[in-house]
Amino acid sequence: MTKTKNYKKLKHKESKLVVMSRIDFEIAKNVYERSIQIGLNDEEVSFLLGKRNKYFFDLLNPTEKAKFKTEQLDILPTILETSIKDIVPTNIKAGEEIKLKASKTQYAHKIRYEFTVLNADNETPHATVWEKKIRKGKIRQLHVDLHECLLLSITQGYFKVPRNALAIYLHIKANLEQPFSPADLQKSLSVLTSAKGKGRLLKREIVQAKYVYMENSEVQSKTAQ
Amino acid sequence: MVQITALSLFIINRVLLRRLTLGISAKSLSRTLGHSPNYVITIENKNKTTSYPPHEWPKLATALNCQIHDLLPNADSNSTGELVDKKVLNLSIESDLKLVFKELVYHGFFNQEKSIQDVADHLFIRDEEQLKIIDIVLNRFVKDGLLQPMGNSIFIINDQNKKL
Repeated sequence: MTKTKNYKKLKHKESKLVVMSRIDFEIAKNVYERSIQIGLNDEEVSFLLGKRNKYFFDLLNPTEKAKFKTEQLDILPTILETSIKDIVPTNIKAGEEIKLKASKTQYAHKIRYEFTVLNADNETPHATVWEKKIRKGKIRQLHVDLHECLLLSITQGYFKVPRNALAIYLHIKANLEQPFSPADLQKSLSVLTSAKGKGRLLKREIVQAKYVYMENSEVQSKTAQ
Repeated sequence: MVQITALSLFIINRVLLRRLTLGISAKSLSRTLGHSPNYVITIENKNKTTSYPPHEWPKLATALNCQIHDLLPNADSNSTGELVDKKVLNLSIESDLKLVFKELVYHGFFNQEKSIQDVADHLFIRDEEQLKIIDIVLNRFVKDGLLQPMGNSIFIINDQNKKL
Protein backbone atom coordinates (compact mmCIF):
# COMPACT_ATOMS: atom_id res chain seq x y z
CA MET A 1 0.00 0.00 0.00
CA THR A 2 1.37 3.39 -0.94
CA LYS A 3 1.42 6.12 1.63
CA THR A 4 0.13 9.51 0.59
CA LYS A 5 1.18 12.61 2.46
CA ASN A 6 -1.71 14.42 4.04
CA TYR A 7 -0.64 18.04 3.96
CA LYS A 8 -2.36 20.42 6.31
CA LYS A 9 -4.60 22.95 4.61
CA LEU A 10 -3.93 26.46 5.80
CA LYS A 11 -6.84 28.00 3.93
CA HIS A 12 -9.59 26.57 1.78
CA LYS A 13 -12.16 28.44 -0.26
CA GLU A 14 -14.78 26.66 -2.29
CA SER A 15 -17.18 28.29 -4.74
CA LYS A 16 -19.98 26.01 -5.87
CA LEU A 17 -20.81 28.22 -8.82
CA VAL A 18 -18.66 30.91 -10.43
CA VAL A 19 -20.24 32.53 -13.48
CA MET A 20 -17.82 34.48 -15.64
CA SER A 21 -17.45 35.77 -19.18
CA ARG A 22 -16.23 32.89 -21.33
CA ILE A 23 -13.72 35.00 -23.22
CA ASP A 24 -12.09 36.12 -19.95
CA PHE A 25 -11.86 32.48 -18.84
CA GLU A 26 -10.43 31.26 -22.16
CA ILE A 27 -7.84 34.06 -22.24
CA ALA A 28 -6.68 33.22 -18.70
CA LYS A 29 -6.49 29.51 -19.60
CA ASN A 30 -4.53 30.18 -22.80
CA VAL A 31 -2.13 32.54 -21.04
CA TYR A 32 -1.50 30.03 -18.24
CA GLU A 33 -1.00 27.10 -20.62
CA ARG A 34 1.30 29.09 -22.89
CA SER A 35 3.42 30.26 -19.95
CA ILE A 36 3.90 26.62 -18.87
CA GLN A 37 4.69 25.65 -22.48
CA ILE A 38 7.54 28.15 -22.77
CA GLY A 39 8.87 27.48 -19.28
CA LEU A 40 7.96 30.73 -17.57
CA ASN A 41 6.78 30.41 -14.00
CA ASP A 42 3.96 32.58 -12.66
CA GLU A 43 6.30 34.93 -10.78
CA GLU A 44 8.33 35.56 -13.92
CA VAL A 45 5.13 36.45 -15.82
CA SER A 46 4.15 38.81 -12.97
CA PHE A 47 7.60 40.39 -13.08
CA LEU A 48 7.47 40.94 -16.85
CA LEU A 49 3.97 42.40 -16.51
CA GLY A 50 5.50 44.91 -14.09
CA LYS A 51 3.57 43.58 -11.12
CA ARG A 52 4.21 42.06 -7.68
CA ASN A 53 5.20 38.39 -7.60
CA LYS A 54 1.81 36.95 -6.71
CA TYR A 55 -0.14 39.08 -9.19
CA PHE A 56 -0.40 36.63 -12.10
CA PHE A 57 -1.32 33.57 -10.04
CA ASP A 58 -3.87 35.62 -8.06
CA LEU A 59 -5.42 36.67 -11.36
CA LEU A 60 -5.82 33.02 -12.36
CA ASN A 61 -7.80 32.22 -9.19
CA PRO A 62 -10.94 30.50 -10.52
CA THR A 63 -12.95 31.29 -7.37
CA GLU A 64 -12.70 34.96 -8.31
CA LYS A 65 -13.79 36.73 -11.48
CA ALA A 66 -10.52 38.58 -11.97
CA LYS A 67 -9.49 39.00 -15.60
CA PHE A 68 -6.81 40.30 -17.91
CA LYS A 69 -7.17 43.85 -19.14
CA THR A 70 -6.56 45.05 -22.69
CA GLU A 71 -3.42 46.85 -21.42
CA GLN A 72 -2.01 43.50 -20.28
CA LEU A 73 -3.03 41.73 -23.48
CA ASP A 74 -0.95 44.36 -25.30
CA ILE A 75 2.28 42.93 -23.83
CA LEU A 76 1.36 39.30 -23.11
CA PRO A 77 2.10 38.20 -26.71
CA THR A 78 5.63 39.61 -26.31
CA ILE A 79 6.09 37.93 -22.92
CA LEU A 80 4.71 34.63 -24.18
CA GLU A 81 6.47 34.84 -27.57
CA THR A 82 3.23 34.34 -29.46
CA SER A 83 0.50 36.18 -31.32
CA ILE A 84 -2.52 37.87 -29.74
CA LYS A 85 -4.67 35.57 -31.88
CA ASP A 86 -3.18 32.54 -30.12
CA ILE A 87 -4.21 33.99 -26.78
CA VAL A 88 -7.67 35.29 -27.66
CA PRO A 89 -10.15 32.75 -29.05
CA THR A 90 -12.34 33.83 -31.95
CA ASN A 91 -15.32 31.49 -31.60
CA ILE A 92 -16.98 33.03 -28.56
CA LYS A 93 -20.59 34.18 -28.79
CA ALA A 94 -21.73 37.59 -27.59
CA GLY A 95 -22.39 37.55 -23.86
CA GLU A 96 -21.36 33.87 -23.56
CA GLU A 97 -20.70 32.87 -19.99
CA ILE A 98 -19.06 29.89 -18.38
CA LYS A 99 -19.98 28.22 -15.13
CA LEU A 100 -17.31 26.80 -12.89
CA LYS A 101 -17.17 24.85 -9.69
CA ALA A 102 -13.91 26.04 -8.21
CA SER A 103 -11.76 25.91 -5.13
CA LYS A 104 -8.56 27.43 -3.83
CA THR A 105 -6.54 25.58 -1.22
CA GLN A 106 -3.47 26.98 0.40
CA TYR A 107 -0.88 24.70 1.94
CA ALA A 108 2.42 25.68 3.51
CA HIS A 109 4.30 24.60 0.38
CA LYS A 110 1.83 25.29 -2.43
CA ILE A 111 -1.37 26.96 -3.60
CA ARG A 112 -3.77 24.74 -5.50
CA TYR A 113 -6.62 25.87 -7.74
CA GLU A 114 -9.10 23.25 -8.85
CA PHE A 115 -11.99 23.93 -11.17
CA THR A 116 -14.56 22.07 -13.21
CA VAL A 117 -16.31 23.65 -16.17
CA LEU A 118 -19.98 22.80 -15.77
CA ASN A 119 -21.39 23.67 -19.17
CA ALA A 120 -18.85 22.27 -21.60
CA ASP A 121 -20.67 20.91 -24.65
CA ASN A 122 -21.47 17.21 -24.28
CA GLU A 123 -18.32 16.59 -22.33
CA THR A 124 -18.07 14.80 -19.03
CA PRO A 125 -16.95 17.46 -16.58
CA HIS A 126 -13.42 16.90 -15.36
CA ALA A 127 -11.42 18.81 -12.82
CA THR A 128 -8.44 20.91 -13.85
CA VAL A 129 -5.71 21.70 -11.35
CA TRP A 130 -3.30 24.61 -11.44
CA GLU A 131 -0.64 24.75 -8.75
CA LYS A 132 1.96 27.17 -7.54
CA LYS A 133 4.81 25.92 -5.40
CA ILE A 134 5.87 28.17 -2.58
CA ARG A 135 9.63 28.18 -2.23
CA LYS A 136 10.97 29.42 1.06
CA GLY A 137 14.53 30.02 2.17
CA LYS A 138 16.10 29.66 -1.26
CA ILE A 139 18.39 32.45 -2.37
CA ARG A 140 18.88 32.78 -6.11
CA GLN A 141 22.48 33.14 -7.22
CA LEU A 142 23.41 36.31 -9.07
CA HIS A 143 23.89 35.77 -12.80
CA VAL A 144 27.25 37.51 -13.07
CA ASP A 145 27.27 38.13 -16.83
CA LEU A 146 23.74 39.47 -16.75
CA HIS A 147 24.59 41.70 -13.79
CA GLU A 148 27.60 43.13 -15.60
CA CYS A 149 25.48 43.76 -18.68
CA LEU A 150 23.01 45.65 -16.50
CA LEU A 151 25.81 47.70 -14.94
CA LEU A 152 27.09 48.53 -18.42
CA SER A 153 23.58 49.60 -19.47
CA ILE A 154 23.46 51.92 -16.46
CA THR A 155 26.77 53.56 -17.39
CA GLN A 156 25.57 53.91 -20.99
CA GLY A 157 22.54 55.86 -19.77
CA TYR A 158 19.90 53.24 -20.58
CA PHE A 159 18.18 53.89 -17.25
CA LYS A 160 18.09 57.67 -17.57
CA VAL A 161 14.45 57.16 -18.56
CA PRO A 162 12.17 54.79 -16.61
CA ARG A 163 12.19 51.26 -18.07
CA ASN A 164 9.73 48.47 -17.38
CA ALA A 165 10.86 44.90 -16.73
CA LEU A 166 9.84 43.62 -20.15
CA ALA A 167 11.77 46.36 -21.99
CA ILE A 168 14.84 45.68 -19.83
CA TYR A 169 14.53 41.93 -20.42
CA LEU A 170 14.44 42.40 -24.22
CA HIS A 171 17.27 44.94 -24.07
CA ILE A 172 19.56 42.57 -22.14
CA LYS A 173 18.52 39.63 -24.33
CA ALA A 174 19.66 41.60 -27.38
CA ASN A 175 23.01 42.42 -25.76
CA LEU A 176 23.96 39.25 -23.90
CA GLU A 177 24.94 35.97 -25.52
CA GLN A 178 24.55 33.84 -22.39
CA PRO A 179 21.07 32.55 -21.63
CA PHE A 180 19.25 33.95 -18.63
CA SER A 181 15.75 33.89 -17.23
CA PRO A 182 13.40 36.69 -16.17
CA ALA A 183 14.04 35.49 -12.58
CA ASP A 184 17.78 36.13 -13.07
CA LEU A 185 17.00 39.65 -14.22
CA GLN A 186 14.63 40.19 -11.30
CA LYS A 187 17.42 39.11 -8.93
CA SER A 188 19.91 41.56 -10.45
CA LEU A 189 17.44 44.42 -10.43
CA SER A 190 16.58 43.60 -6.85
CA VAL A 191 20.26 43.82 -5.89
CA LEU A 192 20.66 47.14 -7.68
CA THR A 193 17.53 48.67 -6.18
CA SER A 194 17.94 47.44 -2.62
CA ALA A 195 21.69 47.77 -2.02
CA LYS A 196 22.77 50.26 0.60
CA GLY A 197 24.84 53.36 -0.12
CA LYS A 198 26.61 53.79 -3.46
CA GLY A 199 25.66 50.32 -4.63
CA ARG A 200 22.04 51.36 -4.98
CA LEU A 201 22.37 52.41 -8.58
CA LEU A 202 18.72 51.99 -9.55
CA LYS A 203 15.41 52.80 -7.96
CA ARG A 204 12.04 51.19 -8.55
CA GLU A 205 8.88 53.24 -8.81
CA ILE A 206 5.30 52.67 -9.86
CA VAL A 207 4.19 54.43 -13.06
CA GLN A 208 0.73 53.77 -14.49
CA ALA A 209 0.27 50.85 -12.09
CA LYS A 210 3.48 49.13 -13.26
CA TYR A 211 6.92 48.88 -11.70
CA VAL A 212 9.59 50.78 -13.60
CA TYR A 213 13.32 51.03 -12.97
CA MET A 214 15.47 54.11 -13.38
CA GLU A 215 18.78 55.63 -12.33
CA ASN A 216 18.99 56.50 -8.68
CA SER A 217 19.82 60.18 -9.10
CA GLU A 218 20.98 60.56 -5.47
CA VAL A 219 23.75 58.00 -5.97
CA GLN A 220 24.60 59.32 -9.43
CA SER A 221 25.07 62.88 -8.17
CA LYS A 222 27.15 61.71 -5.18
CA THR A 223 29.33 59.66 -7.51
CA ALA A 224 29.80 62.68 -9.79
CA GLN A 225 30.94 64.80 -6.82
CA MET B 1 -4.61 63.84 -26.99
CA VAL B 2 -4.16 61.08 -24.41
CA GLN B 3 -2.02 57.95 -24.77
CA ILE B 4 -3.19 54.33 -24.65
CA THR B 5 -1.71 50.93 -25.55
CA ALA B 6 -1.17 50.05 -29.20
CA LEU B 7 -3.61 47.12 -28.90
CA SER B 8 -6.37 49.28 -27.44
CA LEU B 9 -5.92 51.84 -30.24
CA PHE B 10 -5.89 49.16 -32.93
CA ILE B 11 -9.20 47.72 -31.71
CA ILE B 12 -10.85 51.14 -31.39
CA ASN B 13 -9.89 52.01 -34.98
CA ARG B 14 -10.85 48.59 -36.30
CA VAL B 15 -14.28 48.86 -34.67
CA LEU B 16 -14.75 52.42 -35.91
CA LEU B 17 -13.75 51.53 -39.48
CA ARG B 18 -16.04 48.50 -39.45
CA ARG B 19 -19.04 50.36 -38.03
CA LEU B 20 -18.64 53.20 -40.55
CA THR B 21 -18.40 50.69 -43.39
CA LEU B 22 -21.63 49.07 -42.23
CA GLY B 23 -23.29 52.45 -41.56
CA ILE B 24 -23.80 51.84 -37.85
CA SER B 25 -23.91 54.95 -35.67
CA ALA B 26 -22.00 55.19 -32.38
CA LYS B 27 -25.31 55.43 -30.49
CA SER B 28 -26.73 52.39 -32.21
CA LEU B 29 -23.60 50.33 -31.47
CA SER B 30 -23.70 51.48 -27.83
CA ARG B 31 -27.30 50.27 -27.56
CA THR B 32 -26.44 46.91 -29.16
CA LEU B 33 -23.65 46.47 -26.63
CA GLY B 34 -26.11 47.22 -23.84
CA HIS B 35 -24.56 50.48 -22.74
CA SER B 36 -25.55 54.13 -22.44
CA PRO B 37 -25.80 56.02 -25.79
CA ASN B 38 -22.45 57.76 -25.23
CA TYR B 39 -20.42 54.58 -24.54
CA VAL B 40 -18.89 54.18 -28.02
CA ILE B 41 -18.43 57.90 -28.63
CA THR B 42 -16.54 58.15 -25.31
CA ILE B 43 -14.25 55.29 -26.28
CA GLU B 44 -13.63 56.93 -29.67
CA ASN B 45 -12.81 60.26 -27.99
CA LYS B 46 -9.10 61.04 -28.43
CA ASN B 47 -9.07 62.84 -25.08
CA LYS B 48 -10.33 59.88 -23.03
CA THR B 49 -8.22 56.88 -22.05
CA THR B 50 -11.17 54.50 -22.28
CA SER B 51 -10.97 51.42 -24.53
CA TYR B 52 -12.93 48.23 -25.23
CA PRO B 53 -12.31 45.58 -22.54
CA PRO B 54 -11.89 41.93 -23.71
CA HIS B 55 -15.33 40.83 -22.49
CA GLU B 56 -16.87 43.29 -25.00
CA TRP B 57 -15.00 41.82 -27.97
CA PRO B 58 -17.47 38.97 -28.68
CA LYS B 59 -20.39 41.46 -28.57
CA LEU B 60 -18.51 43.82 -30.89
CA ALA B 61 -17.76 41.02 -33.35
CA THR B 62 -21.44 39.99 -33.43
CA ALA B 63 -22.66 43.58 -33.80
CA LEU B 64 -20.17 44.20 -36.61
CA ASN B 65 -20.85 40.87 -38.32
CA CYS B 66 -17.27 39.66 -38.11
CA GLN B 67 -14.99 37.39 -36.07
CA ILE B 68 -13.21 38.48 -32.89
CA HIS B 69 -9.92 37.91 -34.70
CA ASP B 70 -10.97 40.45 -37.36
CA LEU B 71 -10.71 43.09 -34.62
CA LEU B 72 -7.18 42.09 -33.60
CA PRO B 73 -3.79 42.84 -35.18
CA ASN B 74 -2.26 40.23 -37.49
CA ALA B 75 1.43 40.53 -36.83
CA ASP B 76 3.25 39.02 -33.88
CA SER B 77 3.41 41.76 -31.32
CA ASN B 78 6.64 43.08 -29.88
CA SER B 79 5.01 45.68 -27.69
CA THR B 80 6.72 46.35 -24.39
CA GLY B 81 3.81 48.40 -23.16
CA GLU B 82 4.86 51.83 -24.38
CA LEU B 83 1.79 53.98 -24.82
CA VAL B 84 0.94 55.61 -28.14
CA ASP B 85 -1.05 58.74 -28.97
CA LYS B 86 -4.75 57.97 -29.25
CA LYS B 87 -5.00 58.81 -32.95
CA VAL B 88 -8.54 57.73 -33.72
CA LEU B 89 -9.71 57.74 -37.34
CA ASN B 90 -10.84 61.25 -38.17
CA LEU B 91 -13.16 61.86 -41.12
CA SER B 92 -11.85 65.42 -41.43
CA ILE B 93 -8.46 64.01 -42.45
CA GLU B 94 -8.18 63.05 -46.11
CA SER B 95 -5.96 60.00 -45.57
CA ASP B 96 -8.32 58.61 -42.91
CA LEU B 97 -11.33 59.18 -45.15
CA LYS B 98 -9.52 57.35 -47.95
CA LEU B 99 -9.17 54.32 -45.69
CA VAL B 100 -12.90 54.37 -45.00
CA PHE B 101 -13.71 54.76 -48.71
CA LYS B 102 -11.46 51.82 -49.61
CA GLU B 103 -13.48 49.69 -47.19
CA LEU B 104 -16.74 51.04 -48.63
CA VAL B 105 -15.59 50.14 -52.16
CA TYR B 106 -14.43 46.70 -50.98
CA HIS B 107 -17.76 45.99 -49.27
CA GLY B 108 -19.82 46.97 -52.32
CA PHE B 109 -21.25 50.26 -51.08
CA PHE B 110 -20.61 51.84 -54.48
CA ASN B 111 -22.04 48.92 -56.45
CA GLN B 112 -25.11 51.12 -56.68
CA GLU B 113 -25.05 54.81 -57.54
CA LYS B 114 -24.31 57.05 -54.58
CA SER B 115 -24.43 60.83 -54.26
CA ILE B 116 -22.15 62.81 -51.98
CA GLN B 117 -25.12 63.21 -49.66
CA ASP B 118 -25.67 59.42 -49.64
CA VAL B 119 -22.05 58.97 -48.57
CA ALA B 120 -22.33 61.69 -45.94
CA ASP B 121 -25.52 60.14 -44.53
CA HIS B 122 -23.91 56.70 -44.42
CA LEU B 123 -20.96 58.10 -42.45
CA PHE B 124 -23.16 60.34 -40.23
CA ILE B 125 -21.42 63.46 -41.55
CA ARG B 126 -23.22 66.81 -41.21
CA ASP B 127 -20.29 69.20 -41.20
CA GLU B 128 -19.84 71.36 -44.34
CA GLU B 129 -16.03 71.10 -44.22
CA GLN B 130 -16.21 67.31 -44.04
CA LEU B 131 -18.61 67.30 -47.03
CA LYS B 132 -15.95 69.15 -49.01
CA ILE B 133 -13.36 66.53 -48.06
CA ILE B 134 -15.75 63.76 -49.14
CA ASP B 135 -16.01 65.49 -52.51
CA ILE B 136 -12.22 65.73 -52.80
CA VAL B 137 -11.67 62.06 -51.91
CA LEU B 138 -14.48 60.82 -54.19
CA ASN B 139 -12.94 62.71 -57.09
CA ARG B 140 -9.53 61.27 -56.25
CA PHE B 141 -11.05 57.78 -56.38
CA VAL B 142 -12.44 58.66 -59.82
CA LYS B 143 -8.99 59.86 -60.91
CA ASP B 144 -7.47 56.60 -59.61
CA GLY B 145 -10.02 54.61 -61.60
CA LEU B 146 -11.74 53.06 -58.56
CA LEU B 147 -15.03 54.92 -59.08
CA GLN B 148 -16.69 56.49 -62.08
CA PRO B 149 -18.87 59.62 -62.11
CA MET B 150 -22.46 59.36 -63.29
CA GLY B 151 -23.10 63.14 -63.43
CA ASN B 152 -24.49 65.49 -60.80
CA SER B 153 -21.99 64.24 -58.24
CA ILE B 154 -23.23 60.66 -58.43
CA PHE B 155 -20.61 57.94 -58.17
CA ILE B 156 -20.58 54.23 -58.87
CA ILE B 157 -17.84 51.63 -58.74
CA ASN B 158 -15.79 51.38 -61.89
CA ASP B 159 -16.80 48.17 -63.72
CA GLN B 160 -13.20 46.95 -63.72
CA ASN B 161 -13.11 47.08 -59.91
CA LYS B 162 -16.36 45.25 -59.25
CA LYS B 163 -14.53 42.04 -58.48
CA LEU B 164 -12.29 43.71 -55.88
